[in-house]
Amino acid sequence: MEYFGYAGKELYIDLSTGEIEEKPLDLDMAVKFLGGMGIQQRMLFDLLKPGIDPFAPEAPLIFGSGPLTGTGAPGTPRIMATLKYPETGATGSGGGAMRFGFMLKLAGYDHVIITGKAKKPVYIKIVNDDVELCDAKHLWGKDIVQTTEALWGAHGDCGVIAMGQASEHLGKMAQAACDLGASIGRGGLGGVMGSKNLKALVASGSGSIRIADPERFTKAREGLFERAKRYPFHGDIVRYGIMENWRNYSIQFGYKKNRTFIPDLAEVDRAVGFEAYKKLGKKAFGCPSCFIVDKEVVEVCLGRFKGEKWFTPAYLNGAMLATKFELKNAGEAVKIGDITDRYGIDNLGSSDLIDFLYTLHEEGTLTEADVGGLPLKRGDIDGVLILFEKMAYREGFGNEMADGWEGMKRVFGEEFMAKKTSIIKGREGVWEPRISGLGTNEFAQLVYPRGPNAECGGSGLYTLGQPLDTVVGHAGRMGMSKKAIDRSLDSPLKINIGRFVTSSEHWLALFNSLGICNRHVNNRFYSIGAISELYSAATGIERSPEELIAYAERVWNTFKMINVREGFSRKDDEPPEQWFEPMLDYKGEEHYMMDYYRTKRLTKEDVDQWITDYYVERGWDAEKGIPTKEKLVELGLEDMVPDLNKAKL
Amino acid sequence: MKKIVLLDPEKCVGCRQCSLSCSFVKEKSFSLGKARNTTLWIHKAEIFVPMSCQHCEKPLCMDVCPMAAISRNEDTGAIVIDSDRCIGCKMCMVVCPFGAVTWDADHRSMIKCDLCDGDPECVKHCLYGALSWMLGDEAAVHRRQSGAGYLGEALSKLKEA
Repeated sequence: MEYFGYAGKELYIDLSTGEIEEKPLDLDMAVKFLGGMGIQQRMLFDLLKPGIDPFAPEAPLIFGSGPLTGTGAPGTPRIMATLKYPETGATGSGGGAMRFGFMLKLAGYDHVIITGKAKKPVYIKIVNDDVELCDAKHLWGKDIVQTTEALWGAHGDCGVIAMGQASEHLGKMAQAACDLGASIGRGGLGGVMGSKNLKALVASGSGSIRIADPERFTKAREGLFERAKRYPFHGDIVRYGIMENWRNYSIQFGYKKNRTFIPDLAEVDRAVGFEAYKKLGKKAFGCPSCFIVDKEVVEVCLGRFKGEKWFTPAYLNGAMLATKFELKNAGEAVKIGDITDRYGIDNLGSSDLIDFLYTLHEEGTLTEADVGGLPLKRGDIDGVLILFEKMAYREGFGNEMADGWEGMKRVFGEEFMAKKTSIIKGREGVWEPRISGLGTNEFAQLVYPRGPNAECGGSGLYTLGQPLDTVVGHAGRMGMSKKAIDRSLDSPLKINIGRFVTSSEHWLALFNSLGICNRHVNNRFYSIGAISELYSAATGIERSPEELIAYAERVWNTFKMINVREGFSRKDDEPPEQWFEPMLDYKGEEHYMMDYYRTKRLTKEDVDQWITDYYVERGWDAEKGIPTKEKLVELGLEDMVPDLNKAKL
Repeated sequence: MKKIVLLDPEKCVGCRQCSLSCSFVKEKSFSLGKARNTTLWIHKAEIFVPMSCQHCEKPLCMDVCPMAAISRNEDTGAIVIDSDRCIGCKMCMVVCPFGAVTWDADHRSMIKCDLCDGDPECVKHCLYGALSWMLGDEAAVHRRQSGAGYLGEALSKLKEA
């Protein structure tokens, strides 16, 4: 059978027995669930035993790409990892990029489904159809940079996904990295790899991805290239990476002291922000197929850390760590960013956790003696390096830190944590709505089935306060029907964010299922029309914009149902108490959570209503916060109906 | 005067669109293996290097071919293979220092860059300036401008310090 767009094979690896099996891709299933994240939700529903320990050998781990990955459609390098997350006990997919997914497709595989636990450290090598479990003894104990460099050296032009020491010690905030340029698996993917003795995966492929209608594909592809060539800020984005958008990101991430304080961003900018970043040496790089790269190797040119280099998806990560920790300059930001990436610790989650400990120390609630003498002084680069080391190796209080917010609940109690943090489904949010407002990114954190994430449901709109006709423009681009747009704008506050987020989630599901990069710099060029053309031309399967949205809805409901089966329901979508308390800025002014257009200060009733509106928009049971039998049958997911009663209400 | 594909590895970001575009225009499918070029990451130098045929003035491939199957297209300046004359002995692949010629096992023939008849696809899809299609004289000035840019940056840092 000839496949178009899809590579056409699934790879099953049982690490316990060493058995490797190839199966043809079930095209009917693939088409029904689109690809990537979509197919993987279906697979996970079938393979995952409910209630299982995420570190159990039987827990499945799936890596794979979508039908557009490996084609020349711009910005389609995505690799999705699907699993049950140690940090939260929720299930879902996380996206990575760089070369692994791309090479996996060219090697002839759409997905790799991994179960079991290897008896000793291994890495999976996939070079075309030569698949092997290779001895990783020489890599165990090494950090992500060392591991990746060793595997590049051994396997030439390839894609590498590697984990570090934090994963070897089963950290719940441990993640992996793709060719040092993309992180993958916040929430403990790295820990799951560690529990399987799986140090890395390597893929290299010299095969081809067939295109069903090359002329039609060319038209859609060239259209996208033309738009990028005309984009006036293309040069700025390549030059400055994600920092090109520092003005917005610094506001959205500009908080510390346990989310109670907004610092002077002008000062932050000088110390570790854009002004400081411009003094670093830099080399731009990007993923296969990208036409607007924003990744970088940065180098410190002055001071104590002169000569230090950091391969990173974004210097922004270091700036954000440095803001929370009050580090003094870009050199310290680079150092801390590099170390967290080498150990493979989620820098978003861990920075909040360490900020939390620093704040308790400043408030007098926590002494250094309480944490076995570990340094708790904010602003101390050497101190925070020690904290990350202890966290990576689970030494002393680092053992509690390695268990993330679960560890903190153990130490401080659940009630204390509920008051002091913005934990939703067991992890801290990324977007702070009291600063930016409750937009799509911010609201989506509540209802995202696997817990708040940087990529959840914000795509299409991103920033708040955009003029209404711009919002309508984005909505059309995202494939929202006229009726869906009307419903989303039917609000005295002009936008019903609960209803709108439904469509944002479908837009995200399309990107995650087809292999398209979700970063705003790439996302902005794509429209539902372009996606429909690319998918139809590549696969030979005609899908209209409306059909694609309907299929995305199926993917989302499957994603939700695996979590319902694990016990999640409306109670887990509740907003944190902290959201309704003010934050103070450096001038002493109070900031409250407001709506998209900053019309009013939001109450719990407002947010609860939008959560209800979100469920109603989805055709779900608004009281329980889960799909209904009718919705599942409508989407062809009848076999999931019995699991509706697994939700813990 | 003929145009050349000028490489600027400093600007290459490793996006592989040059290879994807090449394989697509030649084979109607996307691959790295069937592309007539490759971009490689040289870790020690922290640089991507786009590797393709340099359409040499004294092509070693042309010299070594026992069937006179390799010649220069006078319009484009490209060194091209006549697949009807080619016997697939692979000596051109052996002698080329750039690895420009390769053996296509599916089509049972040697393949290499032919500059797409004077309208190279790789250049059209490089949005980073790593590949440029220009006359030899323009290329000289272009490279000197690049070099002056680096010198200028270094001098301005001296002024700041």
